[in-house]
Amino acid sequence: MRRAPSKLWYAAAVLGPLAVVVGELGFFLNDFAPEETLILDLAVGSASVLAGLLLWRLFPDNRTGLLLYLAGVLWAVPGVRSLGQSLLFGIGEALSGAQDAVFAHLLLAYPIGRLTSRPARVMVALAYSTVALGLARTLVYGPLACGCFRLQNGLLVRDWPDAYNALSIAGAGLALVVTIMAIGILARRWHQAGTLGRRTYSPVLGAALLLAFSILLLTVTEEVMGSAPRWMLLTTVVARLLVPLAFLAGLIRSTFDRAAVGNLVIGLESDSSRSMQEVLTATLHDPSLVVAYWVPERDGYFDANGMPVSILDDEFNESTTLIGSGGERLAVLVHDPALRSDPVRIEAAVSAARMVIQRERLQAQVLAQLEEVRASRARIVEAGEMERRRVERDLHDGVQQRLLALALSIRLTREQSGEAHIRDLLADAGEEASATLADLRELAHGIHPSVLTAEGLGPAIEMLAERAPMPVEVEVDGTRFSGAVEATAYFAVSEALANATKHASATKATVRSSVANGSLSVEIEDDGRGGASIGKGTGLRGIADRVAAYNGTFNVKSPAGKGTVVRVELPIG
Amino acid sequence: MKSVVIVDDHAAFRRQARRMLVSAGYDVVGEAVDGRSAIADVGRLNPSLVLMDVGLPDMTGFQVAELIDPSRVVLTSARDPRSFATQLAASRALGFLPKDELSAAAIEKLARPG
Repeated sequence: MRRAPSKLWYAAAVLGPLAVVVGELGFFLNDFAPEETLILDLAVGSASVLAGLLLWRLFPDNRTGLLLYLAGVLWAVPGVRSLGQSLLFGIGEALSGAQDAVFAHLLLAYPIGRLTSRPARVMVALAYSTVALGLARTLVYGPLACGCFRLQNGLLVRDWPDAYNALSIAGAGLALVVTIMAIGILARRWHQAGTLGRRTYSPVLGAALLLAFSILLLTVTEEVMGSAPRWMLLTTVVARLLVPLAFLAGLIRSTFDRAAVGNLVIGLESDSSRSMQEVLTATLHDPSLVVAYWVPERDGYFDANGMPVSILDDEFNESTTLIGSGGERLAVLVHDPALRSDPVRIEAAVSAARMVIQRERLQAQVLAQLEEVRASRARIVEAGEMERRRVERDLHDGVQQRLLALALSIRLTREQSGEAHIRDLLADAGEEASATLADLRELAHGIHPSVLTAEGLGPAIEMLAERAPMPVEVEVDGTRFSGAVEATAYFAVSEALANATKHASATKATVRSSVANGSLSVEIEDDGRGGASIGKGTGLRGIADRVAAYNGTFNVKSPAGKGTVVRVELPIG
Repeated sequence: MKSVVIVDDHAAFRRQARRMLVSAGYDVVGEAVDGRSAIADVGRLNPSLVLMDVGLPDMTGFQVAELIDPSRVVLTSARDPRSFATQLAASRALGFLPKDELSAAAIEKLARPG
């Protein structure tokens, strides 16, 4: 997580505090500065610059640190007006309102360091246009002529008091609008945030609102009364000091939370019964959190159990955090948007749990593929079943109909024939045709019994029982199920009864069915010699495969000499 | 002489059924290959008996029987009647004969109960 800081950061780390010290020195030399505020001024600048540098160092990709740092520097810069240098005076004068614009940007971009809404972008653009107004105003400001300072303005183009006054009023008006907008946007954010959001927003938002209100009060009072009482000025300075402190407080709390994450992850490594999702939900205080793993083979997201998770196409919104490793997409966290306000904690949790995430992702990958294999097996069984239905229908409509017509024709010819020996021959032929027809019907029934599709499992099993050479008791009611469930159960019963007759020499059997807990269970019991197993022969193996393809269970209990119980359970949801 | 319409989509069966019925003294006034033409023919020809296959391409023989007068319909099929036991029990047709047991005498028996 820690990267070596950039050269820019090192330069900023040297120049920033220097600028603050120099600027504050200027304020100190300025006779007009109220002395009580000097220490607070220095504190505001230093706190912002240092907190900004720290955040910038920890989160180089998040602009919050940089903006806080710039706000601190710009806070102190106007002090250079009093250093006796006319060019510095001009620069200080031009930048005297810039810190408020950067502050507005900082607060509205918090916590992710980017402006995500249109009103916020408009507001920040307006705030920066006040900086442009300040610069324009400086170009027409002659401090010597009005007797305001004992120094000339190094950026003066032409002394023009009317333009200066007009630009000052415009700048103040714009600042007022910006401040009111900022209060509105921040208040709305606070209102919309959930419990978790308020928990993380509260320090920074509270300080920011206090600052915005105090600036508003100060600006209005100054415009109306010409000057503001000293306590108003002090309140503004205190509010400014609170903002960087609030950012720091957030940072410190995140560090503590990171330690807590570390502990929880240690627990996670040793206790595999807790999933990443459970741990993150508890650690990040977000019950809505979902961990979804990217499975490239399936081109989608899946949970740790291999079930698909639907994630909208605009994955990169405020309530998702992507987790990657070396440019490879690993997972995505779907969470309360407010969690973005505490990126330290997500990053800490994710980096501490990287091993577990990799492990769970592998598990999700395997399970997702397993699920796909299961589904594909079910589709294959289903396709086979459809094929059997088609073959049965073809036999019925083709050969069987022709054979029937042939048998009927032989019978009619026999009835109409006058010669006895021809009638005898035709009787033989007719019997042969009838026997062939019976065989064909038996064959078609074995391929797919039409009674199953038309009348359901109960009547189909009754027919099986009638065909069996031993008495079979059937306790199956007329409930209908899906075609896949009925066919799977039917062929299990058919196979079990065939085994009972052929291999176990059973003298009787019972077929029972019941529905419980969303499953159809069918049990076939015989009194044969036992010894059957799924591994022996292809019949039971085939049934076991079919049952597994529909997520069912298949059991054979067949102790030698004590009969056989075959039990099939099939989900009917 | 009793008039009959045969409804079945298999030509070979229609031919033998016609032969059987004609030799028993019936007048086969029409043959239909599906439910739609059966309804049209029966309406037009008004036969006293309809020999109808259960499995027609467009609808079942049970459905057609309900749309014409079921009391003159004898149903037949090559399938085991247990394959459509529920529909058979609910049908108001004269009766059912398996195709391999079809004879003029059996039809006569269904058409004149008692």
